[in-house]
Amino acid sequence: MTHTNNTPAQDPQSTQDPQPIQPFEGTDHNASQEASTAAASDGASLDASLASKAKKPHGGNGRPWLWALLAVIVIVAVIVAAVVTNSSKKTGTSPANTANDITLGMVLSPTNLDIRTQSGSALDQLLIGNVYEPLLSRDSDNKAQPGLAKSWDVSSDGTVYTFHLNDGIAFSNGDALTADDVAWSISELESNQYKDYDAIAGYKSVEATDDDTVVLTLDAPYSQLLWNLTGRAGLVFDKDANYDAKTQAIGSGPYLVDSFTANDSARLVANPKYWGANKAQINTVTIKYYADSNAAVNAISSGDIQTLSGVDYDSVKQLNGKGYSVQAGDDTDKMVLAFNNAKSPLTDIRVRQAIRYAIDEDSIIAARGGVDKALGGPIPDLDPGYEDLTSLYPHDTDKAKQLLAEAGYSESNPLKLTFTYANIYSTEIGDQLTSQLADAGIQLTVNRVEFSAWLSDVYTNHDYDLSLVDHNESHDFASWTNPDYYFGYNSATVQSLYKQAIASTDETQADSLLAQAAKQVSQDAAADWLFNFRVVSVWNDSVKNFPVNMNQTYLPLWQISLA
Amino acid sequence: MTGQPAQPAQPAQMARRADVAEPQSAEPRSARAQSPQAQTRRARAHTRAHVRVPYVVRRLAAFIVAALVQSAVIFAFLRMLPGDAAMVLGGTTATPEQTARLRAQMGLDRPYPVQYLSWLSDVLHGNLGVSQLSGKAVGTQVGVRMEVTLPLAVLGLAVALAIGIPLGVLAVTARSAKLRRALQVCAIVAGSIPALWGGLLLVLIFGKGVGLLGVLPSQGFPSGGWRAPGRALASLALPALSIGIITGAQLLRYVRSALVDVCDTDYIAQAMVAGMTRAQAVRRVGLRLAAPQIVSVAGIAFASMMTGVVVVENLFALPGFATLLMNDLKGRDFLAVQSELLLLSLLFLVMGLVVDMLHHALDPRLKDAAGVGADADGGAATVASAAVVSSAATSEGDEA
Repeated sequence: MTHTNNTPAQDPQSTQDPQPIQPFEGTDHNASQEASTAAASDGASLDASLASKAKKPHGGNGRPWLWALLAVIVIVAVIVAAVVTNSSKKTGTSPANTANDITLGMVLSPTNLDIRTQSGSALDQLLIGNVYEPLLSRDSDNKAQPGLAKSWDVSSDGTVYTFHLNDGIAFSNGDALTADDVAWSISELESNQYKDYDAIAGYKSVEATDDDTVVLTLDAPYSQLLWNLTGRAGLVFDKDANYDAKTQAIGSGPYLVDSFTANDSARLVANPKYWGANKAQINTVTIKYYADSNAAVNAISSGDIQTLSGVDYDSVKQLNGKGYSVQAGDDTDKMVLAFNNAKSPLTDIRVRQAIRYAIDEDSIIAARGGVDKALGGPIPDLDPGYEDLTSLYPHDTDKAKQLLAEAGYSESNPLKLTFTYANIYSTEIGDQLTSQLADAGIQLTVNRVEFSAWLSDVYTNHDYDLSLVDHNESHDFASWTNPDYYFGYNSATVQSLYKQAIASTDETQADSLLAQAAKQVSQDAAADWLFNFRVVSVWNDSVKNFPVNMNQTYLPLWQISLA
Repeated sequence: MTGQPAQPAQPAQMARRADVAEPQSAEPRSARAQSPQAQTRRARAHTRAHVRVPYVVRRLAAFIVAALVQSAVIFAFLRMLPGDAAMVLGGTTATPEQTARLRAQMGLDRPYPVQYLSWLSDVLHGNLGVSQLSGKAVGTQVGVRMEVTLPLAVLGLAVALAIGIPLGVLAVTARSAKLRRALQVCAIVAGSIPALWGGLLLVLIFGKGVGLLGVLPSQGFPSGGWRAPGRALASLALPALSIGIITGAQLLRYVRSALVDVCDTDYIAQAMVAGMTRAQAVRRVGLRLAAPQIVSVAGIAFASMMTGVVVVENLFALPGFATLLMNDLKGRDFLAVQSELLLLSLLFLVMGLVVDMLHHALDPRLKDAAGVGADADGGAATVASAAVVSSAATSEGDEA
């Protein structure tokens, strides 16, 4: 049935239609005949094109190189015109040098503005102290000092903290900031387990006793509390405001978020309703984020940005003294070669020690431009409990080999380990470690993966031997007391020392207990601390008071001014 | 087959005779069978009137099927990647409980088929979703980013065409064998420059503040976007040049080899018989015959620039689409990535249509072949290539 119906319908077309398409079989002669029939029968369109073609004046098809030249000239002309208009505009306003406008360059960008759920120090850097204000603030020595709270009392047993707020604090939307907002912010933090909810360890209750007084009660004393309240855990949000925290921010700080585009830029403007002493000196601050450090260096060299932080020292050192200042800031970043302490063969302390002896931290630091500090243990010098532990495991390849031999490894049976790190870190450092360990007879299989893959494989599933991470958090020693953390380090001594330290109400005693715990971790060779990463900042000499220390986590923009 | 009435047969018939648009396909078949003459006439009338409509409809239908398959494949493949948005959000300080909580909040704990269907239904309702990472609408984000990437790709293509076509022709027609050889070598060298390296070189030459000439911005895009058209255009100049030179060199080789192929045919000979020099024949007949191929290649080059410019966007710190896609992928914002890829395939469809339309405009042979399947194109090409030759020959004759 289908056939009988179809064929006749198909047939007349191919046999009787004069302008069909036949498979190419014929010769040229044939084809041109076909074409002329087609032209004749189809008529108008083809004829018209023929006719117009025929009338075209000579020279329509010029020499090709002339065309190329012409095209290039046109493009160059357009660009030059654009540049001329652009530069003439620039000389008019010159945004770089007016006192109301500055552009800062950074490398790491936050993903969104929701500081209660989104991780990453780039968000702290952008918002804390600028847009959102914490209950307490921190000084350049990383110590807690008054913030929204002008003073505080601690009960003698160290479990009840009473904070007295400053007068006349207002949010940028005009709402008054009262003790209610503080209590609400802290109780929301705890009940929703927002980021850093564990920074108020032993949280019991929080209460606003009057408009200016907040009482925070803990189950047990916690010596880290005051410092912790200078960070995310202490931020105060407007209880009555309704806004999308991922794209907007309503805080009490000296700046407002005008616009934010992840991985591109953030624009902050001075908050006209700001209540306190840290008034913005520059009206508009734009932060540009550069994924490519070449672009970042070009941007500062060409004057598009006035400061730049977070690039390699070697890429910017040539700018020093040529209208720019280049300086490395102190920081709490610990570049850690993490060991999976819970996984064989790294459960063997001799293996871990051998790795520590095999690594030459000084040459790694030198290769990076020599600005970073040596770090022998888990606590950097800006954090409480710091002690110089760099002499515990000096570089000694022979010792490393000897320890490996004791652990049963030899040249014929070398120690083989996987080394998994995120591609946010450069290959140079990975290559250097690989070759240093190879000298001691340790063979690494290197996997350089995406950060999200690292989070899944290493951080969550603990599927790794060695890894490389920059732990930039301050006061983060607690990760060595959590056996479930990806380090897999489980030491009863360290856990007990830490417990005593945080329960101590005496600061000196707390610090010395922390130092003991840190020394134990380092002696156990729970990881190798490659160096204390120091962030290099460059600024145009017209910029005054650019915060150099710890500016990756805390960047008080109100301090910055323009000459 | 035998027991069934006409219904099941109809689609097959329509497919085979797709050139004949038949709105009244419900018409009794007997009538058709009875009068093939009348039917042909009607068919031809329809061919004239509706020839593009069924073609476009067919393209769309094929696209919808492809898009559905594609969406499922994209969805599945994305889920094979290690990590998810909740992990990335939590970073290196998250406790497992926090991550689980975030996962539940974002709906990532639902079974995959449920997630897929809910996304699909959103998309069908015209809602591309909200990025889990940035909290912004995916459609808006893509729109903003395309304001950078689309002009960048257009400029890049313009540079590529301006380089590729004239020099490609020259590489065939130049009298000097040395020049031809030099062009070929240049094309190979320039075509294999990595975009990163080429871009850096251009910055070193033209970059403002860093380069030798220092005339063009070396990075960044004005924050006001195209409200400052001069600055926006200037900031795209070096990126477009670095893409354009590399793509142009590749295009040069393509044009050259397409023209060499054409030169081996008799059309060129015929054109020369009609009085053209070889160079003229190559430019007027050869280029025209090769045009559809060149358009196809240019179309593919343009489409691949949408994601291929990621290196250049990074190097020049341009907030473009390719960067957005890569960052969303890195952040495991699958919802956003899915929708972005879907939009991208829409763009590819549009590019395909544009290329086809250009083919029709460039190649009179296809006017008659519009509705016929691709298998017929070869025949059509042969049929009408002679028409091109004769039209070119006619103009040549008139000039003479």
